[in-house]
Amino acid sequence: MAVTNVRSLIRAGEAPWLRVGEPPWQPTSNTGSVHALLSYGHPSIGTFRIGDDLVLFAVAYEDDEDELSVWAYVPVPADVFQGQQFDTAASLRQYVNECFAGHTAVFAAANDLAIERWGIRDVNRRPDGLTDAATEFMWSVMKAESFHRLQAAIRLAEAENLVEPERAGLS
Amino acid sequence: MTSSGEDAEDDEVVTQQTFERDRVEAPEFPYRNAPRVRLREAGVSVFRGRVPARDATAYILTARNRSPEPADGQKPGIAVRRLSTRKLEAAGFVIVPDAGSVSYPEHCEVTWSASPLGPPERVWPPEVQEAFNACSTGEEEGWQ
Repeated sequence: MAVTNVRSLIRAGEAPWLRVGEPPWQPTSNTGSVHALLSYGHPSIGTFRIGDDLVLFAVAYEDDEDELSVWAYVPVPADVFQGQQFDTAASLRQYVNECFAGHTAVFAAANDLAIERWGIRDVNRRPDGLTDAATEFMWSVMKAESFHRLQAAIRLAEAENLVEPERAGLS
Repeated sequence: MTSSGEDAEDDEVVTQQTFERDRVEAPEFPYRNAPRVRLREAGVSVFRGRVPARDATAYILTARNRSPEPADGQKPGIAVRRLSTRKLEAAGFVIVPDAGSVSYPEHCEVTWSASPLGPPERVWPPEVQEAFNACSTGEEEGWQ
């Protein structure tokens, strides 16, 4: 399946369309373009427009017991869902996951369905490729988060003269 | 676990699913009686007609990119109940079709507005929650 390159959605390392704090299914200012293909409580799979690009979004991880959810985005051809009807949620999900397979996608981590962080990951062609990429993305987010917290702790310790800057190493 | 309540045709009921049938801390309210404000919900998700617990659960898990077959530990908590569409509409609720591109089960959202032409309210007062709960037909079905 031909898919526009995800890099077209990223400019100078920024994804200005993906706004922190917004719901993952409508991260853009153009909320009227959101088209839900599958919903339960909120849209879980759907599309929205960024300029001329049609972007497919899908939940990659979500659980009632967890405030964290992970969402994936990939540009798709404009007519990819036109007139498409799926017998079951499973057949839609399979089709959608194939749209991601073998492509680079944008991933966003959301807390209580508000976007907090995003990144880019390659999705492998295995049936669980979307889950694999979402897991890798979350590991990278957690590692970065831990490092930032460590840096902040060292800066605080330095400010309170609890540790000498040259011994901290990470400052 | 199957219990029969009032007899109702398929097109006169909607099905509501829960994963929390065995929650001991709130055994009287295993089903949601209002949108989850924290999660920006505008209504309560249901399925049109008499949908088995297995099909409703597969839909929900698939939406979350999970296997449609729940873990064994989840199954005792899974159940569905039926709500009467006539009672819902008589109580002022609106059943909004929201099936997207999926034919079955047909997802709908039950919304409530404080005024007839007003927008759906995200916060349902206790009396509205009780009214929603009272629309249950009494029919319930567990994981089979």
